[in-house]
Order: sequence, then C-alpha cells, then structure tokens
Amino acid sequence: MTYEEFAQARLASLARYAVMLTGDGHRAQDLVQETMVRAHLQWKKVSRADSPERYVKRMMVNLYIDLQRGSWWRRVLLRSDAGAHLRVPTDLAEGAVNRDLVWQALARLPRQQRAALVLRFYEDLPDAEIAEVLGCTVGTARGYISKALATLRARMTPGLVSGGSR
Amino acid sequence: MNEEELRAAFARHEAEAPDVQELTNTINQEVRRRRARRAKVLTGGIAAAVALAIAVPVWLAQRAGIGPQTAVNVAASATGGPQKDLNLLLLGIDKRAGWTENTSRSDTIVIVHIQADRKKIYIVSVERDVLVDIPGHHKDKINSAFLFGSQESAGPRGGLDLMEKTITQLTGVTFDGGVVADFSAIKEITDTLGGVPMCLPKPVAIYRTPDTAKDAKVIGAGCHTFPGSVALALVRQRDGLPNGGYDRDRTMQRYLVGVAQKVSELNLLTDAGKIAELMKVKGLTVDLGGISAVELAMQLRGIKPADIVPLSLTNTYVGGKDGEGITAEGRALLQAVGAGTLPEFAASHPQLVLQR
Repeated sequence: MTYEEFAQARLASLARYAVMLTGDGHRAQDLVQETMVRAHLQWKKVSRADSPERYVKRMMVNLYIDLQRGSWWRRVLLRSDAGAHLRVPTDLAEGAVNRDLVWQALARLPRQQRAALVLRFYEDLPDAEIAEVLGCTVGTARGYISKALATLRARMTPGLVSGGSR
Repeated sequence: MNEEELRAAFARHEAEAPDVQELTNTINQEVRRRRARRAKVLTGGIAAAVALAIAVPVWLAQRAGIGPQTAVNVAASATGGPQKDLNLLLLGIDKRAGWTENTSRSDTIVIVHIQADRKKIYIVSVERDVLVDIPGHHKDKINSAFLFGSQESAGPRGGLDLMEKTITQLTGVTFDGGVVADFSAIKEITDTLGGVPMCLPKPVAIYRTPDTAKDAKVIGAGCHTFPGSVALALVRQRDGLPNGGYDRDRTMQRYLVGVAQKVSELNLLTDAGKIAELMKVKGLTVDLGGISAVELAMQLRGIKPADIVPLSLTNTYVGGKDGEGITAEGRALLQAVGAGTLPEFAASHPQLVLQR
C-alpha cells in the first residue's frame, strides 16, 4: 500500500479520531497533520507494520500525550495561520451547553486516560489493542479506563447532589 | 453518566473533524518543505557535527602521525589491519561576536580517546577551573591555557597547541589532533543536523547572570531534540547547577552523545563528500587536512551512541577563587588517559561514567 492509498482510505477517520483526542477541530487539525507528515516521511517503516493504521494511531496518541512539554505542539500553535481552517461546529450553535458537560469533563482528564476512553468507546478496540496503541500493559490500559470513568462520574454528579441538599 | 452518554458525546463532535481535502494539501505541502530542508541538512555543515562528537577524531587524524605518510596505514586498517589508539582534544571557547582572536578561554575541555579497534570512544571532560601548571606560565586555571596560547596572533591554533601541551604535562597523553569550536559553531552544527537529541535528568534553568535568574527559562527534564539556540544555551549553563562546571561538563557530554546519535542516524560517516563539507563550518577550527580524516570517519561509522563512554572529574571545590583541585579519583582518571587504560578504569569506576 502506498502512502497515498492509505491517506485516501483513512485520513477522514484519523481526523475524527484526532478530534476525540484533542477535544476541538483546531487542535485536531494540528495533531493529525503533524502525525501524517511524519507518517508520510517515514512511510517505508510505517508500511512494514502489521497494521499501518494502528501504527499511525499509535504515533498520533504518542504525539498527543507528548505535547505537554510543548515541543512540536507549541510550534504549530504559533503558526500565524492557526485557526484559519477552523470550522464552527453546528452543534454548539444550538446552545446545547449542558449536553457538553461530558465533553468538558473529558477535557480535564489526564491524556493517557482520555486516549484510553477514545480507543474503547469511540474506536471500539479490545483491551489488548488499546494497550498496544498506548504502549502499556493490558492491566494499565484497563486501569486508565476505570479510573477515567470514575472521575467522569464524580464530576458529573456533584452539582446534582449539592443542588438537592438545599 | 454512563457509557452510552460517552459514546453519544464522541458522536456529536465528529462533525468538528477538519476538512480532508484541506488537510491533504497542507500535509503534502509540509512534507515537501521538510524534504527540502532535510536535503539541505545532508549537504550542509554536517561534517562539523562529526568533528564535534565522535569524529572530532576524524579531523585531527592528520596531525599526530596520521599524515600523508601514514594515510596508507589508515586506509589499510579500515579494512581490518592493525591501528593505534587515537587521542583528540575538543575545546569549546567563549568567543562572542566581535571579540578578537586572543581574548577567549576554553570553558569546555574534552579529551576524545578512540580505541585501536575503533569499537569504543571514551570522552573525558576536564573541568575548566582545575588548577594546573601551564608550560611557560604560572600555575593557573586550565581554561587560561587557551588564552595564553592564542596571544600574539597565534589564534585558536596557538590556543589549542598550548592546551594540548598543558594536558600532556598533566596526564602524559599525547594528542593526534584537536578541534576548537566557538558558540556560533555549536549553534550552526546543531541546526545543520536538524537539532540534537538530549536527555536531561533534571530540569535546567537557563540564565546568564545571577540577577536574571528569576526570569530564567526552564528546560524540563526528559528527552527532547533541541535547536541550535537552545542546545547552545544548555551547554553554556553553569550557574544554578548543583556542581557548577562539573554538571555543565555532563551536559556537554550529553550533547556530544546526541550529536553522535544524529550523525549515526543521518549516516554521515559513510559519505566522504559530506565529511569534507563539514570542515567548512564557520567558527570551527580543525587542525588537519583531508584524506585520512575520511578514512577515519569510515572506520568509525559503526559507532553507536552506546559505544561512547563519557567520563568526568568529580567536584573538588576547595573554596575561594583560586580554582579547583583534583581528587585522587580524578588523578587516577587522568593517569588512565595517559596510560591508555580507560576501558579498565571505566569498568572499575562506574560512578565517574555519565548516567544515561
């Protein structure tokens, strides 16, 4: 498979996957772009993988988790044209703010945990593949998921509890 | 909250995905840009990097015995014949833009020892404040040897020369060649390599004078690939490190290992043309000429960063501004350099080997 064939078949789904990881279209664009540029430049190596798609997803997760130190991330965010291609989600225009409490809670999770949730509930991968993509053991991957779910539940409910006690 | 809500939240945001056609265009454009840049790196000042890290040796080969006369031997040994240990001296000087040739000291002093079998390279840092006898001068901090030697239009070659004599007197080691790099050379080498990877065990705060320490930019612990400006700032930083100049020497060693890694990744040592170009970097003084450097580079092409063993003196701060003494352990290290017994020394003194 050539890089072009791969991009043709997978770019759209990788772009969506980047949105789920980063939480917005703008940063998703930077993430998927940086990942694909690297994949393209090292395509020989990528195409030798058992599953190039999984390999690229792993690259993307690594870049996403890595970005706390700001290396490539800061660089791309400083681009003068950042946001030029940003699309306004139609959804937000409806003012569905409450519905997105889940989304806001996701944004506050540690990146590994968020990535694990995306792989499980968006990509529907089995635990073993989640672990492979995250480069950790199956036990650790499961731990990320259960810890993330517990955090989300705790964050989604306190408002209701304190509201009821008045 | 349940898993269905989570799935629904993901599904709602799918529409935010960036446009595929635009993405494709930007990606292709960026790939072209990086390929062009990469091609430039490969033909640019690459050779300088080689000099600095591993290949410092490469350059110098000419001087102490691998001249045109012995070039044949080197070539023969490249195909398996016997060869000898090589010692090269690598100096980093504090020359700023606008400084004249005879005002710099060498704050980085690295002895590069290449084993006869070309399988390992030992690098030994000598802290710049160590008090030594400088031939023809008084006892002084070792970094002054370069300054004294560079007077009367002797320039960097003169500085290198006196530094070599000083270290020979101190350790008994004789040098086969040397390289002098100033700030601009470090920066240029790093950038032409496309950045140098370094792993920092602890964060390093970058600042020049104590009164600017509060505005320091902190470089986090961990592994990063640094551009020239940052790499230079790092290898210059001494203030604020627990062991001052000794810790800075370790940073320099990490930098050299990073250069070696980049050189090996880019296969720079396999291409004679690239090596020849390396010597043209501004601010880099290389004491040697042509062909045998290429031969030596060929011999060293199998060297990986793990084959480089960085050693350093330990902190002997004695107080005051008179300079540093040398511990018994440090003396043993310097003797091992002279005696050619660094492999044994490194094995029995793991505490002096850089922790990576």
